[in-house]
Amino acid sequence: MKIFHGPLNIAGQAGVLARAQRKLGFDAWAFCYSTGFARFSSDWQSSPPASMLSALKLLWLIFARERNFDCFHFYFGHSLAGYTLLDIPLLKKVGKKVFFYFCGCDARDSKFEIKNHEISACSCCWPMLCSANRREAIRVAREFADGIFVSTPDLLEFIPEAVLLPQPIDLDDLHSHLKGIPVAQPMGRPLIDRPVRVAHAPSDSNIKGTKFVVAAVEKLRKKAINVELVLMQNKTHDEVLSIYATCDIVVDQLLVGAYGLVAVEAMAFGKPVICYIRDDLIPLYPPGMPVISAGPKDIYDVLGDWVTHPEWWNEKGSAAKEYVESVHDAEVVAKMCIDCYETRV
Amino acid sequence: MRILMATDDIQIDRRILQEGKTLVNEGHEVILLARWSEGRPSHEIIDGIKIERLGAPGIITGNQPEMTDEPNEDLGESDDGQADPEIAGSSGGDVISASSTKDERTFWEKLRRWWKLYGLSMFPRMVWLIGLKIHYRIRTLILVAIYRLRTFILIADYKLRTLALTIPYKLRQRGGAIVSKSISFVEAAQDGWRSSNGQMRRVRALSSLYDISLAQRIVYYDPDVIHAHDLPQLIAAVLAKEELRTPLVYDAHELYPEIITLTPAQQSSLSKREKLLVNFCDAIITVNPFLADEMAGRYDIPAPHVIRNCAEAPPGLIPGRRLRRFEETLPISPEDKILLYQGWFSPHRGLQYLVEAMAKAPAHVVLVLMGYGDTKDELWRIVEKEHLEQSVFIHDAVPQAELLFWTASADAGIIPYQPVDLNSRYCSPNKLFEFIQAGLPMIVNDLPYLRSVVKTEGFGVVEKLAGIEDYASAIRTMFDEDLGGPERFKNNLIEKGHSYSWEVEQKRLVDIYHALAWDESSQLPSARMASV
Repeated sequence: MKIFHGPLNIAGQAGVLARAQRKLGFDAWAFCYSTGFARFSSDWQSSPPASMLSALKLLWLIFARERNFDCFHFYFGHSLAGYTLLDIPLLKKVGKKVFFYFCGCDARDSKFEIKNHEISACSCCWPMLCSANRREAIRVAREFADGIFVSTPDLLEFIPEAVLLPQPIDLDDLHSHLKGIPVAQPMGRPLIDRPVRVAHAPSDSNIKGTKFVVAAVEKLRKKAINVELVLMQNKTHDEVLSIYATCDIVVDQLLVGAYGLVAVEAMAFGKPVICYIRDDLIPLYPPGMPVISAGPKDIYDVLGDWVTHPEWWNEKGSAAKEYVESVHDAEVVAKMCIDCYETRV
Repeated sequence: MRILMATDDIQIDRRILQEGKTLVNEGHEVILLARWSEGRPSHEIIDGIKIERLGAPGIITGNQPEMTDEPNEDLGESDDGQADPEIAGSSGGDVISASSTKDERTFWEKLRRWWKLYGLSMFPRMVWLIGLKIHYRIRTLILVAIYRLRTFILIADYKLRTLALTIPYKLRQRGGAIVSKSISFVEAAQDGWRSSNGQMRRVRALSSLYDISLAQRIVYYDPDVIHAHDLPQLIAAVLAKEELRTPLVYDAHELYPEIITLTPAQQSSLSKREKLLVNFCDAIITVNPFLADEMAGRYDIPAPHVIRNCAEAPPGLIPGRRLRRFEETLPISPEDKILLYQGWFSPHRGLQYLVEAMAKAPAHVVLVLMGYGDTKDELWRIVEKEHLEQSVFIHDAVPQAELLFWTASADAGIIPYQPVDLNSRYCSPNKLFEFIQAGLPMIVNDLPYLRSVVKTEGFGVVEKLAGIEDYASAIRTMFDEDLGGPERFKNNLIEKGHSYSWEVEQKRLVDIYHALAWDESSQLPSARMASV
């Protein structure tokens, strides 16, 4: 089975999954647009086609020059025909398998979120980041796709029949970033020679609740607690990983209700991770999920506790690493995908 | 619920912001689509209202992931976007070179053979052969043309004679078919006009590219209620309502077809348009009872709801208490009395007469014009010409949040609007309510709504302001100390002003929204649409 991943490479998932599936012996390739500042890698990169001619060139490249795929794994509500999804019925007509992977704003209904949840990223999200084709993408996925994946359990509210596919990370690639970088090891005792470094890397500060993190750290500093906020914005993925390794605690986001790839990578480094997890979503995660939940109202208290108790970090960090290896390892996730590809007819 | 408001404003009207804030305070999510201009942010939040300004260049609003313009190296594109021939054109080049090699071998072989046979004489022989070929080709073409022309003439002759016999019969048949089809078309059109589908077809026919784009933007936000401010937004709102099946509120700030700057043809067209579009509205709001009655009579609809342009008194403002901001910023003596005009310096508001009238006003009265507009230069020229530099001052506009404090820094206000069109005749301007909230006595032109408020409530002087003498007389009446000066109106303003505040008026808006009874699960259209 030849597997196509792309054309959007949200958080590098397409590239990671394709590499992992190749390691499992499958012919999987990631053909992705090189977009955004994070520059995630994939097997083959191109600019999004700006004209009919470049679109045809791209299709020729994928189907004729490279390989004839059997299974298409699309991301973020986009397919080879962009957000129009006009190619999906055609792909099904010629007997291809099609899977959709919804990652967040491509499926989330902000109106529902704001109305039904007291804390939601959508209430702070302006300009609104919802995909314009979110309803159409879900409709097309339901009608034509062989399977639907979601990256976080909050999206199951909108697509209950979807399969929760944890965000995959390449642990080997991740740990290669640690070479030559001074890793902040949990000391097990209060730090006296340097401040506690709290990392926060928001892709969008509004929806990640950055202002609450900043306010909490400021408040802690005013109480003479030696803490430093390492705020990372507009950095490449590699830069972010390098900085994670040097920090003690990582704060993912405080509004969405589920943890993202930032949290997964931080846990893989053995860091305690603070992130708002909605109460109704906790049972949907695998048991032993080690993320420390905190929202806008209690981030100050939770962060204060963890900053002042470094003896907790080691145990939490170890649990986090084990959790990531068993749930988020790319090969584990890739295997889940392959099982879905093979069982869905 | 999510409420989407649409306006054509760049500087968003106070009324819209107040309505939005009221709905936000009721627990709703309010999104406002406005117009963008240079220097304004494309997105902002004011008083909890999420504002998007349409038309901002190069703004990615999250509809699609960020795209770059990098060259497609894997497809052989260089930095200038041109394909690298070595990569992109290699297969085509191979085909071209193969075919030209074959022709060259044939031609050179022929040439070699002729040289062996004829030597140098091959050249005149080649010329002779080419000439012969041309001769035969031309002769053939002429013969073929003559044959075809003769055939055509024969056929044409036969057909014309046949037509001459059959035309009357066919015309009779065709004419009958045309007439019967016309009758059916007109009947269908009449039925279509009466049905909602027919009206919707007309709406779509009237839609411009802007209307469609705006409608798409409204649909993107998927609101539970659409609230269109003024006629220019109404087509887009109706298109979006049809797709989303949500209630539509039409907030007519003025009688748009009556605006004086429009030509009679434009006024007629807009009037018909408004008459068509109001049928799709679940609730219609306007600014005063006169406009409500006019719209009801004009469009044969129930009288629209009235929500007045009342102002909200800011914290710290005490109605009737005189502040001194103008004395701090302008060379005005503390003993002088200040007459204030605030707002847009429109050419149709009688400001030119007002300025000239200051030459005949009491000496202790000064005029402050606070606002913005193209007429500012003209007003300055009048001031210089009449040597009124000591009596007339022009002040820049101030932020809305500070406006009423400046209003309270005057002794009297003036609303000199001229009845240049029906809209102006029935006006109920923002400044009327701002003056009331600040406790500022006022001089107003004798227009229906202004009279109904100012005269009835005893808020100031109502006089016909047609010329310079009228203005001067009204100013003298207001500031006549024997009559009590402006202070004689202050008690009425203080006692009755609260009933003209937004705090009271906003309840009407809340009631309108509560009365928009719709089934959230089925999203049924309003009773009005169901009956069409």
